[in-house]
Amino acid sequence: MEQSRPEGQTRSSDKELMERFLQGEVEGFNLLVKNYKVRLFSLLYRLVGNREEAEDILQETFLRVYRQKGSYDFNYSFSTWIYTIALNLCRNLYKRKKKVRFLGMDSLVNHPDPNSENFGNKNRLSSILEGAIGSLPFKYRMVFLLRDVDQLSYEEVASTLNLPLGTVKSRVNRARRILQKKLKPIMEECYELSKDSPLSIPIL
Amino acid sequence: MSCRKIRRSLSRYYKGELTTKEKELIDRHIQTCEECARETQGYKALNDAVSGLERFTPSSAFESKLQLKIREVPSAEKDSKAKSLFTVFPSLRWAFVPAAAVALALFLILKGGFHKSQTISEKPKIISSAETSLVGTQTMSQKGTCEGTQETPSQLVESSTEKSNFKKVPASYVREKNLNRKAVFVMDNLRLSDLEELPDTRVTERGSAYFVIDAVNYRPVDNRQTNVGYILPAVSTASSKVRKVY
Repeated sequence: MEQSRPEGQTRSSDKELMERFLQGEVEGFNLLVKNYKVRLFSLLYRLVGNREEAEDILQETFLRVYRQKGSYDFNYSFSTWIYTIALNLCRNLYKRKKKVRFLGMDSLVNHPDPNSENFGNKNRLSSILEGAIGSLPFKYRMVFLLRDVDQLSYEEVASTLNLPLGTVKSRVNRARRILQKKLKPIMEECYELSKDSPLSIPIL
Repeated sequence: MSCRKIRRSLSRYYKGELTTKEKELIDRHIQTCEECARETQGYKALNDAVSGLERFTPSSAFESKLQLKIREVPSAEKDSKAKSLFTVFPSLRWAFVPAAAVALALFLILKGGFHKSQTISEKPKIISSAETSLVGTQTMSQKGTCEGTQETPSQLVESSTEKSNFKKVPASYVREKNLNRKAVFVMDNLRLSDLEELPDTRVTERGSAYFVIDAVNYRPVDNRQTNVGYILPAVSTASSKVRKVY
């Protein structure tokens, strides 16, 4: 389960921060917010496709961490706990709305994220990929984002979503195959271009 | 291995999620099969594109909004764990167990005494006059028929939310034997659709019912059956959450 995080944040230091927070140091909580806000917001934004709703869910997630700090079990990783809270809130919203509009390629291209550092330079394949991820069925999108984008281990995904490991593996595989199929035309184009280039995928 | 089987594993190929043997099989296969090699490149492109996906950041006001909401959290919740009594005085942990045991023993003794006195010597309490219109009195005959006789209650303590929408309960809910004393029953969890006409016994929309019957040797053995043999489905008395003094 132990795995290095994209920000270089390890589980143990998350736990240390939580420990500090439980001892009354609010700074511990603030650092946890800092460490997780971008990662969780990216996930939630891609899941719900709406900035305001994603921010609302994120805020509620951190509020729950704040209020229910006493219920955190140190036997489990902090990331699993906070992801579970966020995704439960997200799923509740999904159930309430029955169908949530998700990001499509066009919505990303036409409404670029103003806080994104280099959204203007976003390449074509990434834009198409965002659209393709947005059109994945909800259950596949969740596992795909957790596993391939947020780089959680299969075990962590299974624990976060309370699903059997085999189900998670097959859903991730299925999601990748759906995406590969959708992106096949442009990827073939990439492949053709890459044959004449020293770089493997030159247009990426 | 066939192309079909190979392609099923290709998505895991670039993630390094295959065993060495599986990986070698695919390596060998894509050297000779251009279709699968092309497919492999597709997954590589997907993998590269995914790792290059944008990270989105919440608005700049996000943290200040969060801090604002945190300030609204009641202080009791804020300090719930951080400054618990046991944290401040760790030695209290050891004192807690015997103290809890003594408290439990006292509770059990007092509770036992209470039940005994209630069973043997307690006079039936009367329902408040304010509740006259809500509470009926049943006198149960030996043959199990119900003769509804209205009495004037004087002491039932009840929340005002349960004073409306009363309905009758069916006779089949009350089976009697040798009932001479009055007791008030509070019935929970009745389905209104199951209810039939029974004079002077009433149930709220929330499923609680109040009625008075004569009961000899009535004891609140459990919330369904008394020791004198009459059964009240879904009846709660002593253990009822909404049990009131009567």
